[in-house]
Amino acid sequence: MLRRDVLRVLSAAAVAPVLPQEVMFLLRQAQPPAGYGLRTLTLQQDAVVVAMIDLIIPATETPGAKAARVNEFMDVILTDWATPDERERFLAGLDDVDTQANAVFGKNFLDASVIQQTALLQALDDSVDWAQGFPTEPADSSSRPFNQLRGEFFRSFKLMTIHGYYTSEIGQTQELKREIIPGAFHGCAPLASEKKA
Amino acid sequence: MANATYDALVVGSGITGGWAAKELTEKGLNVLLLEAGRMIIPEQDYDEHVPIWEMKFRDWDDRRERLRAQNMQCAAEDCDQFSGKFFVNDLENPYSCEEGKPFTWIRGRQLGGKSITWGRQTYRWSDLDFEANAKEGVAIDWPIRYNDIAPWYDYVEEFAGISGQPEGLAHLPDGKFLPPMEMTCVEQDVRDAFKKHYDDRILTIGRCAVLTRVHKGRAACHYCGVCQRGCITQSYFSSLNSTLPAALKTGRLTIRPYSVVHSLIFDSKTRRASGVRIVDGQTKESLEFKARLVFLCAGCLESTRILLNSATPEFPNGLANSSGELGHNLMDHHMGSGARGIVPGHADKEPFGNRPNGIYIPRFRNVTTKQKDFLRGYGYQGASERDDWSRGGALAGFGPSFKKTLTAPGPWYFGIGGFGECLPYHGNYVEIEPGKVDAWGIPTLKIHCQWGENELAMSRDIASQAAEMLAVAGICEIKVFQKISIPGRGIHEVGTARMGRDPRTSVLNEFNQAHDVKNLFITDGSCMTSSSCVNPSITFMALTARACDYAVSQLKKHEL
Repeated sequence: MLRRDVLRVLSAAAVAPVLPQEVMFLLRQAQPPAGYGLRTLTLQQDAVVVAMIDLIIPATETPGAKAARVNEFMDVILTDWATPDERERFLAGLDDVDTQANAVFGKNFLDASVIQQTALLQALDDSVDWAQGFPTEPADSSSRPFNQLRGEFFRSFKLMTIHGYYTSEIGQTQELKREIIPGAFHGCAPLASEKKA
Repeated sequence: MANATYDALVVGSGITGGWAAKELTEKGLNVLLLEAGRMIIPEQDYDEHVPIWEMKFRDWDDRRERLRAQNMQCAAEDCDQFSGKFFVNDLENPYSCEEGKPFTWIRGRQLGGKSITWGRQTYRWSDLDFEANAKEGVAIDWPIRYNDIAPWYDYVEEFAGISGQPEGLAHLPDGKFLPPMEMTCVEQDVRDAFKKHYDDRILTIGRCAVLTRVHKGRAACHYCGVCQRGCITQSYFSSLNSTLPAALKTGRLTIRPYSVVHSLIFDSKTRRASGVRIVDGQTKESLEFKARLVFLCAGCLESTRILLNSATPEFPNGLANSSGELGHNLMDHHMGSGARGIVPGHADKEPFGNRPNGIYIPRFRNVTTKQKDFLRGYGYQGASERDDWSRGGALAGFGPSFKKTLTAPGPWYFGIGGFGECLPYHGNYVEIEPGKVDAWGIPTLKIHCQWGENELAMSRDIASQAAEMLAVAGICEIKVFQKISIPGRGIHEVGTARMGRDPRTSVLNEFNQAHDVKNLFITDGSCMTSSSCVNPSITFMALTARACDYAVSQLKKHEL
């Protein structure tokens, strides 16, 4: 059953009106539409980002981070969410990926083989103390930490990849098979993945 | 509208204002409901089913907007890109605190007030709470006991729809419950472990104002799990979902949004409140409305502020303040201490659906035994869940197997956090700050509030008992949190116009009627003489319905 049909059925029971389609449509305008134009990442940087996210969350039986356009989410965050300092550090970290690729393989990241790219990503991954997590205290006088870009470059990059992927339509519906309106609660249900397999 | 006459004015449309509007109109009164904020139209303003992928910043929120206009409000987790519109703009609603004594004041100014975003946990008080001040010689005695309010708990629960499990505890009385929500297997295990190990404490499913079956024309919960965004099926209790539709059905309710109440008008001849002065939120025009009866339900500190701004020659320190207690005895629940850990087993199970409720461990301190280092007690709220993909931000790895790991549920976690009672201290108070006004030119509050030794000692006990209980339940990798929230953060601020028997030491009598101004009733959290440790809203609701019943009976006898 489609989500809106479920909503309609539930609403009928409650004699509550259905959320009009136009309203739902308006609320959806925030998402970068297909054909999103990059505003912070250069085409060159975007290509590196796409190659990296594709290695972190690749397509398997389900589509991966590239198909979910996680690079566009990153561009939105860098443009309209990050502080200038965070953006600068992130882009420097991204450029450093090429510097490292040149130092180790004598070529840019994009020109390296997938095996070389994977090795470089592994080195980046090994350089982070993952268990340490993000700082939990606000950096300034704000009431909320907004700390996602306060870690090392690769910690933030991977976090953004994971978040961008699992909160995408692909991630939510195809990968996690998440129901927006489950219709019931069961405390001890069989695993959704096994049930659907 | 200005010329129309009303029997009653209700200031505020939140949890208590909604009840006052419903009760007074159903008893035949013509009511003008004054709401400081805008109208809310559920079909347009609720967006609980919008998928996360359609939000620009996904789950990271609109950081710049939050920091610009809601830097204080966003201390409440639910003040985000969806529900931020149900919290005030901090720039328009300034207040200040005494140096070194921060207070987090969370407000909602729109039709429905904070009832849209409230936590929906509903627990009755008992005489353990109502008698505590008198028995311990703290502050003043409550003018009522459990028997006075019990039928009113029945009454409001019956209408609101409360799901829960009867447990037969004298100090946490059972209510009129709809069927309880399910516990997870992990929560059931913890409950059973407590049953074996403790004779002074239990674990029960949270009692909450969310429907587990169709109730009075409202649909059962569909477990989307984000009540704070509104609910198009009206499955949880809020003014918008429940009391205001009932009040509107009488044909005797007029709602006036954008009505920022400046002060009450006092008639020195009759010694009654003859009406209110408002500032129109859009035009900034000053207007007056008159009625025979006034119910102040603007929220604890807003109602207090209105009275402090209503000083007259007879009441130089604020209307209805001959006692000098108005603005004093500010309380909130302290929280922040607790524990969390990993629960082994049940790897083949996970919850289905998003339960808008958790588990509850009722108070066990100072019930039958006596603690040496603090008075009163605390309860824990908690829940279990399987870790999800978001744990990936703290895990090494990438690639196909990493993706597979994150997509599968992680370990079961179980965690609890305490909500502790706060004593009423005369020295915790609010006052009008000279020379400072809000966006409508209305003088603002300065808040003086800090925890005392009792709260700090209790907070330490909350942490150590949480750790012990999790260990008893066989939970591993236990992380203990021992910290105490900034006052106000519990969003259970109460006490600044307290009830009492003696007009010399209290603002309100046993029916929430101002000792000094007979046609003025205040039924929001400001009326509380102590704070208990349980979530307060159901008690405000019951007191409001009771006060309305009394007020209308007095009106009929021409006593007001």
